[in-house]
Amino acid sequence: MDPTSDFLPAREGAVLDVSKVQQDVSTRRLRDRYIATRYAQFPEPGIALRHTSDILRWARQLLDDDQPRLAIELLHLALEEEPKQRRVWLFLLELAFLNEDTNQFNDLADEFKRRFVTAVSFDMQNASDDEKEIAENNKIIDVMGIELAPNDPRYANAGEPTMLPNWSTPDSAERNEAGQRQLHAALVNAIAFHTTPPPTQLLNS
Amino acid sequence: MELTPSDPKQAGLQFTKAHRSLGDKHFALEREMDKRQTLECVTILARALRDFEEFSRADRERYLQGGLTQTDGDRAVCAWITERYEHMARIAREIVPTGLNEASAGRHLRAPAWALAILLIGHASKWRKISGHRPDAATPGRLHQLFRSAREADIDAAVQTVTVERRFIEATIEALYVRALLLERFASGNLGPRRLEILDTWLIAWMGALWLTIEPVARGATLCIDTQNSARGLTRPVTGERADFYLALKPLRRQLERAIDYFHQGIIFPGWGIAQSFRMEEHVAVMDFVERELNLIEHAAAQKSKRFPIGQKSRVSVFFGFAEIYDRALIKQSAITTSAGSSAASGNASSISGARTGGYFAPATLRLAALADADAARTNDFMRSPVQLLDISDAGMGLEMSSDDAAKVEVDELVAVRIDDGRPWVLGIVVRKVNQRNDYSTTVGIKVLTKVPLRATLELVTDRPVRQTANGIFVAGSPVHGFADSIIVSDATYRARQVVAVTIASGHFHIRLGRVRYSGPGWKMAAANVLEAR
Repeated sequence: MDPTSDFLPAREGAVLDVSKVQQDVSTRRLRDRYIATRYAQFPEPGIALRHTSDILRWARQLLDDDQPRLAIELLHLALEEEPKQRRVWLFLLELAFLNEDTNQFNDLADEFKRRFVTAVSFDMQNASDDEKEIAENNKIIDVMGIELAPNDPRYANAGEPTMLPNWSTPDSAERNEAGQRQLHAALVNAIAFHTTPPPTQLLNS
Repeated sequence: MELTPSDPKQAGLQFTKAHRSLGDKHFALEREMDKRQTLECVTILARALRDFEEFSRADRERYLQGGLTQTDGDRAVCAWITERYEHMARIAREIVPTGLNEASAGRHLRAPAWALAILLIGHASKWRKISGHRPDAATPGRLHQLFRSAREADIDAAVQTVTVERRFIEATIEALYVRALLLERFASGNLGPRRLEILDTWLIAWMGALWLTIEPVARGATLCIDTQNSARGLTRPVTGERADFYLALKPLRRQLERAIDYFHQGIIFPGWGIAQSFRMEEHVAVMDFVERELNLIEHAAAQKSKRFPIGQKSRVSVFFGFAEIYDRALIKQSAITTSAGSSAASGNASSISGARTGGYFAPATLRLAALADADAARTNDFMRSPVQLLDISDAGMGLEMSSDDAAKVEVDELVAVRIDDGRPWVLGIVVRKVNQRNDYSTTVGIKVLTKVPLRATLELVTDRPVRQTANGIFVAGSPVHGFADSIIVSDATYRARQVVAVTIASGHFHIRLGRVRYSGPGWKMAAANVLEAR
């Protein structure tokens, strides 16, 4: 057997398994204790995981802290708790796109379309704002999909190239990305200065 | 003979006659082995192991559940458990057939001897660590020898049934070998007894994924084994160094995700074992530990360039506490200053680096003066005895100090350690303290935050005409986007939640102190969120 094969079930395999949220009181309590321990922000996970904007912000912070697996797990936990959180799906889709994980992206795209897009009326004149937004999301997903999988028929209707939607940076307006990079570069230069030994000849001067 | 385990309801464990007589029984059993065939010996020893585990189960559970306070009885029983595992491991090694003259078929029938020997070496290795001993340097060599001989006998892939915690576990000799090597690798780190027990239970549950290959896998990180090198177990592959087997980490990563899935479903993975009753915090800490270890191995190339060469058990300089580290350990650094000047910084620091214009472009002679100031063993005033460096990894280190000194140090305390003169101080957090058996020395486990902390004098930005300064230490994160960069400040500075200004070289930054990433007595490490950069 190939030791690198996926011979055991893994979380990536199933996009979402809502059955993980047990109704049994003792397992529910253990799940809540696990979430509260793993993510110190959530004293009451059952409630906190339904607050989409908080989840997105915390997931972004985990990504910033270079903990992508923890961020993805948090997003999955939120979806297990409440699968209707569309922005959480979009966050995951953008992450899969940025990681160039085609399989994961395709699975998520299929699930997104199944859950949200099929229910949308495409009579745009009479569509609600929410429906218009979902239709717009769907267009962007198709464009992203065609970039990852150019020959995949599911993205055959992809439109014109688009800007990255920033679904995984929900508070992008408040973030000074250029400034943050500039600070980091300055710190890296300072570190290089302190770790580079002075020229040998100066030892004798 | 009737064996009665210690009463778990007692205040502490007690070493009883029953414990002693079980030890005597093992010695008698060892003498008896000389007269018997291999298979009989394996059966007898396997039964003895089951009896011992039944007898000691309450003791082991009680010891692992115990808090920081340990009685003499607790320590005696723990030492006895370790000694028993080591003794049985030695008996098991002696049972394993040696030489290649025997018929292959006969050897195959004796495969359980290898399985038992390797299983027991793993148990002994774990309990050495739990009882506060250092890892036995001979362990990797013994494991390699057993695995080599199993390969020669062509039984390394033979599935054997071993008993662990009342469960029948099916595993190959190869999987048992990898489990023992992984335990040996992790037991030399900063993993506490309860966490080590959890990890071992996980490894046993994961044994289906512990496969070796003779070539490194094309995709994904691996660890390697040189079975001819008795001093080393599982290590990262290094170009030019010999290795004859490789362990792919991707299956381990998948197993970890499988364990996490159990917790999502409200089940403590794997659903059995002593570790089942441990607090959730312990399980989550093991999860973090395994993730961190896998990340470190996967990013080995990047980590390697940051590693400093150090001597084993060498005397080091050390400071504890934010204020002491800022004022004394990092005093000569003064890399970063406020826009308002260095009035609040120490005169010494500013004289070396200059203010406003970016201190770290100081002349090389002055840098040398700053580095040379690291006379051996500078420490806080309360430290009366020298501090020794025991071991170091990319993410942590172990220090040995007198128990009197260690008593004054708290867990979560900020610590700065200078490993080599002429090198920057390594900044970390005290994560655990373990009293050694002699009671005179204590091992202090440290999680490394950064290997190059950057001292900064910050300006608190307010509308007032006279602005205050505050002290800070920058900790640069690894991602280039910079959102993982942090500043360590005092609690008082953090509480004010003000925007701070700082000048680094020619750049001037306004920074908001963001979410707390770590905290300890009197200090917080907060995200450095840049509001403005010029």
